[in-house]
Order: sequence, then structure tokens, then C-alpha cells
Amino acid sequence: MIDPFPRLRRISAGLLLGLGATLALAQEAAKPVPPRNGQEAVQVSRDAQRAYESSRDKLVQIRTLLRNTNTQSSVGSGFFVSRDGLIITNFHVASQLALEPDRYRGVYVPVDGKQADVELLAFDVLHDLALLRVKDAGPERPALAFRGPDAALQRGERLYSLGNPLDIGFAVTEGTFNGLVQRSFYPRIFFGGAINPGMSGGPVIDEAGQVIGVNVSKRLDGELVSFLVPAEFAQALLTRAASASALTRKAHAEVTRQLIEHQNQVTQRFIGTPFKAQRHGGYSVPVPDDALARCWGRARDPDFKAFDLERTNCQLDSQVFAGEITTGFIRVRYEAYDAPKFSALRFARMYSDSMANEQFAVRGNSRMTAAECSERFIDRAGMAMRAVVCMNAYRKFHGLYNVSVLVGSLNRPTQGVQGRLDAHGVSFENALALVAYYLNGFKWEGAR
Amino acid sequence: MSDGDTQMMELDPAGEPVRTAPAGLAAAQTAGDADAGRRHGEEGGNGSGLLGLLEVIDRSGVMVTRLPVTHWPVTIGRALSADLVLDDAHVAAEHLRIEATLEGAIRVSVLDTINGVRRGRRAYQRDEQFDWDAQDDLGLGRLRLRLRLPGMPIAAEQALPRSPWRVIGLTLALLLAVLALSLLQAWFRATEPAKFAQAALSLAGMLVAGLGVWAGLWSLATKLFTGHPQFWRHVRIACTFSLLEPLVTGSAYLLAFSFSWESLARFNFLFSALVFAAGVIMHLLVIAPQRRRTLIGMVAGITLLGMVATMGTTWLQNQRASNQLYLSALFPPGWRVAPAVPVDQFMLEAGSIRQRLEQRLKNPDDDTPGDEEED
Repeated sequence: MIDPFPRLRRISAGLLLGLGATLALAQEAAKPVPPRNGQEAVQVSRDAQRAYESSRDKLVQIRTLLRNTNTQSSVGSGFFVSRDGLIITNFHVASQLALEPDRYRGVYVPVDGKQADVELLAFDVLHDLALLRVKDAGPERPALAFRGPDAALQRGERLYSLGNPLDIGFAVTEGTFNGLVQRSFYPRIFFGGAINPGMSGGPVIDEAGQVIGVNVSKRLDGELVSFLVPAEFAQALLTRAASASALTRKAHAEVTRQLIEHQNQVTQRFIGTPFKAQRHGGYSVPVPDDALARCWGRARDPDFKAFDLERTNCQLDSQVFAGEITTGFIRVRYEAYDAPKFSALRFARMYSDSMANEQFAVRGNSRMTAAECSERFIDRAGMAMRAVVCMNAYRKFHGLYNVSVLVGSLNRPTQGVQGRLDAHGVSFENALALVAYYLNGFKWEGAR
Repeated sequence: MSDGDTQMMELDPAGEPVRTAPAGLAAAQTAGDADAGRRHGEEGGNGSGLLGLLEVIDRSGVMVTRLPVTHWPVTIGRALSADLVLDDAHVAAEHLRIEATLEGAIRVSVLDTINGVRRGRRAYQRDEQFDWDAQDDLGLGRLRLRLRLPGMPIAAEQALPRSPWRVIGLTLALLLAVLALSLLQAWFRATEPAKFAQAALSLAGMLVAGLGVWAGLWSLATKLFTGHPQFWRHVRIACTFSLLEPLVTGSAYLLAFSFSWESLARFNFLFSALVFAAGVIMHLLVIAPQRRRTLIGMVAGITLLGMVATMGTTWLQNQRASNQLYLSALFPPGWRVAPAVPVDQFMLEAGSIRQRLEQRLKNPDDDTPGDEEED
């Protein structure tokens, strides 16, 4: 069966939108639902009406169409930022124009519904922004202004998000400014309001009608937890590329350049921030610092009573959307086993099963090669470990790799720790540097 | 335990066991010749005037009929006028005649037949004659004709199994060993004692059912071709190879871990396949022991083909012969023999990955249709 909303699914893929929620929202939207507890009535306030009325002529829907059939491939939102037809949207809305210009073309649809062609001038993969220009300049258009850096946002300040959710029609939703997202690698505004697929790239304005951010994504596991790209990055892109020529050829090289810049920053920050040593029995295990990564742990799995098992998963909130793939992040996890009641052989069996159930890309695809691995017994300050490092190369972003290192201690008959680090979209040198840094973080400090 | 181990087997001059025909015409023909079967050592005695014994064997090695020769010539064919009447559509009414020459040789004359007579690789057509030293079988139609002459050596008498309890004991021991091994494996896998108790019961049931079905199917085939099911013999074979497989693969994993010979782990499935193939050969030999070389060659060929096909498919898909990327079988730390290297050396070795990935980038995987060149 053909997915009727293939690109809707990708909208906001920069973070956390998933298929199930997207389709559910689309189906929900097809059937009018009566307001519950008057909540919707509250959201459509006079302020929101005023915000929408003042912005509606600066608001557009961005569509990418298949060149052959003119059928819609993805939809998002955007807004005019200059009188000569420059439009800001998300990169994930316009990525097909950058990476597959032979197959796709872009159009914008203003509130009056008169569709016209746009061209891609520049993009910022790291902040998920793109700058478009109307092909036929025509008369001057009204544009939204950015809020100046001197007027800092206050927590709780009322904001209005605009866009075209689910390709239904232009809409405004009301929310609040809740500061910046903690531990986000790049600044992201935590918007306490609803953003739906199709609104990506739309502006978020304050009471004065000035742009403070750009809709980008939301959390699926929460209510009204949405994220915005701060306006300063859109402004910077506008300043940098306002007079740029249109990109008409595949822009993989430029995407790669930006991804390399990103992975350099991520690697430097990861290696530059000392690990927080976490102790399990006699083992010292490397865990990223709280300020750097978000970690979740389980102290003792209640399903297993015969032995102790502790797990921790950490991830750097640094992923970026690069067209068809999300990359640029680092994930670290480990499991610590302690089974004094087991025989050495029985423990080894359980430990082997844990080592075996790891997933690696055995097969390649159009985006990545299959994995190539190297494995060895290694010595970490007197502690023997089994280590395997596997890497895949990106086919379209030359010089970038995904690396995974799996390691298990082998110094105690009924105790052990297994760890894994995954870094996506890193250079070969940085991949090896990250692996070495991670492996050197393990230590045996003696039984307690 | 009354399996086929104790059945009567008769050895042909070449030492190949053939089953005597259980009933029918052959039995009727042999009934009057009971004394012929009492001769031992050498067929030198000719007190009853027996000049020879003609035996007809079908393609599966089963004796169809036999004719005690008391006079020459002897004619063979489908006609009732023949001395030895055969029921094979590819045999002529009077297919061949066998007679003794004055010089004492046995001469075969091919009569009015379109299929002729085969002797080894040579085919004799209508009206041809040749001397037959009775060392080779003759082929006529889909049957084989064998001649035993006075003075030809016969195989020594085979002793009846004196102690069936040994066979029973062996079978029980094998069954218990398989059960014990399975329970041990379940014990290793179970992380909770309560779960093990549950797993043990279901495992024992599955084991008995599995062995029963497996040996039962082989017994069915054996019964079909030989008349005796030999069920417990198949059970013993299945048990033996069930024990052998984990022993072989476990040893390979142990060596892979101890000496860091990862290839042994990566291609461990080949060892399993070889053990399985050996088991199948043993089962097949119970069905057709006289076709030992053919069966071994056939199973070996199929196994080899399967291995090549499996690895070839994996290679075509992933440019590697095994899909197991790394060694995951870990044993107690004290069992490690291979040295542990410093992290720096490991990273130096990991540098070789770049070249391998470059190679992969040059050779797009087969599973990447629509992969496009980029600017």
C-alpha cells in the first residue's frame, strides 16, 4: 500500500515525529471533533486572531512536487522575510530541492491559493533552515520582521505559531515561551504549544507580530511540547545568502561540508568534556556528563532475580536531519552484570547472549555501505576486554561514517560490563578518536 | 527391543548384504532347495547335482527370485517356457540363454531382445554371445542377474547379536545423554530457577517428540525399502549426531575465543552442516547399505552445494561469506589464550576498516537499486 502522506511523515523528522502519530493526526483531522472542556475555545483568542490577521499575507505553504507528474511530495510552511520574495522554511521541508533537484521542484502557496514557483538559495542543515526565493519576483510583498536581540524573551511570554497543518489550511496556535531546551546541542526554543505536521518552517511570532523562531519539531510522547529554531539563525542565513544564486544542482557536497563542521563540533565537545566515571562493583564505566547528554538508567531489572543487571543509556541531543537520514549524534550505553550465584560457564553463556544481541548494519543500502569490523582482545589498564569496532560509510556524503564500538570486560568469572558507543555521521579520524576515548574510559578498580 | 538389527542378512560374493525375498515366487522356488543354503565355506559340494544358483536382484538390491540350476542350458525371459520366468516389462519373452561349454566355461547367448544384456559397461545385442566368468552381474531389463557356481567362495557366517541388552543399554545411554545435554543447555540459558523447571519439562517433551518424529520418518523410509523399520537404530543415529553437533560447534567456538580465531565462529554454521550431513548419510546407509559410495557422494555433493549456495548468496548480498560480523561467544576469562593488546594497537588495526569501506563504496551493493551518482 502506498503511503498517502510520505512527506508529511518526514515533516519535523529532524526530531521526533513518527508515522503512527502523524497518520493518527491526519485521520483525526478528517473528522471534526467537538471541543473538550472549552479548551479549543480558549486557544482561539482575540490575540491569536490579531496575530493571524497581521501575518496571513506573509505566510505561505511550501510544497515540493514531482517534476514529472506535478503531484505533491511534501508540504511544509514558510514566511516572507523580504519584500523581494525571500522565504524562510525548514531544511527538512526543502531537502528534496537540495538533494534531488532533477526530480522535484518547489512551489509556494499563499493564503489566496495562487501557487507559484520558488527556488532554493541556501540552507543550514545544522539548524534545519532553508532560504527560498520566489522565481517570478512580481510586485513587492509584505514581509515579517525578526525580533531584535535586545528584546530578550521572557519565560511564559505568549507566542503564536503559524502554518498549514496537515495540508488542511492556514492556522494559528497559541503557546508560551519556556526557555531553551536543556542539553540541546544547538539552541532550540521550548514552545509550550501545539505544532502539527505541515507547520514545519512556519513562523512563531510574539504579541508584536515579530518573528522569534521557526517551527521545527515536537515530542510525540508529550503534550504541547514543541520546538522552535531561534530567529537569530534564520536571520543569519538571510544575511548570508540573500543575494545568492539559486541552487540548481545536487547539493550533497554542501550538505557534507556542513555535516563535517557539525561532527567536528560534536566530537570536540564530547572528547573535551571528561567522562563521569560510574562505578559498578569494581568497574569504572565511562558515562557522558549530565550537561552534555541525557541519560536514563535502570538500577536493578525486576525481571531478573538471579543476578544484578544495571543499564544506562545516554544520547547527545545533537542529531541533524540531512535528507532521508538523521545523523550527527552520539549514543552511549552499558550493561553491568553481577551473578555471584552462577557458575563461570553459566555466566559466560548469559554474557555471550548479551554480546550477541547487538544490531549492526550487516547489509548495505542506497545510503550506507554494509559494516566492516575489526575485533580484538584489548588490555585496559590490566583489565582484559573483548572489543569490536564496526563502521559504515555514507554513500552520498563522502568522508562521513557511522561507527559503533562494542566492548565487554573479561576479567571476572561472574561479573562484567558491556558497553557500546554509536556515533553517526563522523569523519574516520574522529570515529577512531571517539572509540579510543571511550575504550580508555573503562577501568577495573578492584573488587569491593 | 526387536528392531532390525537382528534380521537375517545374506552377503553376496562381493560382500554386499542383500535382503532375501520375503514371499512369492522366489520363496516358492527356493522352498525345494533348502539344502543349497546349508553349504558353508566353499560351494564345492555338488552331491545334489546342483550346477549353480541364479539370483535375480532388483535396483534396490532386493532379491526378486532365484533358480537352482540343475541342468544347462537355462533360458531366462518372461515366457512361461523359460526356465527362469521374470516379471519385468523390459525383459523379452526369451531374453537370454546360459549354457556350459565343453571347455567348462559359461556361455551367454543374447536371444530375441531389443534391450540386450549389459555386463559392466559393455552392452551385448541380439544374437551376440560371450563367456561369463560369473564375477560380474548381468543387467537385463531393470534387473540384475547373478550366478553362483560351485567352488566360488562365500562370506563367513555372521553371528547373531548375543547380547541385545548391550544395544538396549547403548540406546538408553544415548537418549539420556541427549536429554542431559539439552537440560544443561537449558540450564545455561535460564536466568531464573523457576523458569528452568518450566523449560525443562517442555524441553523433555519436545525432545522426545522431535526424536520420535525424526527417527519415525527414517523408519518409515527404511521399512518401505528394506521391510524392517529399524526405528531404534535411527534413534541411536539421531542421538549420536545430536550430541556430536554441539560438541563440534562448541569446540569451534571455544577455539575461536581462546585463540581469537574469529573465522571459526564466523563459519561455525559450516561445521553444523557437515555434522548434519554425516547424520543423514548414516540414516541413509541403514536404508540402502549396498549403495554406500553413491549415498556418501550424493549427500556430500548436496551439502557442498548448499554451503556454496549459502555463502555465495551472502557474498552477493553483502560482499562477505558470513553474516556473523563479530565473535560473540565468550567463555570464562581463564580460558583465553590469545594476548590482549593495548588500545592504541587495536585502534591502529582498526584503521584498516577505511580501506575496506572504500572498496565497498567502489562496488555498490546489489541491494541498492536506484542508487544515483551525485555531483
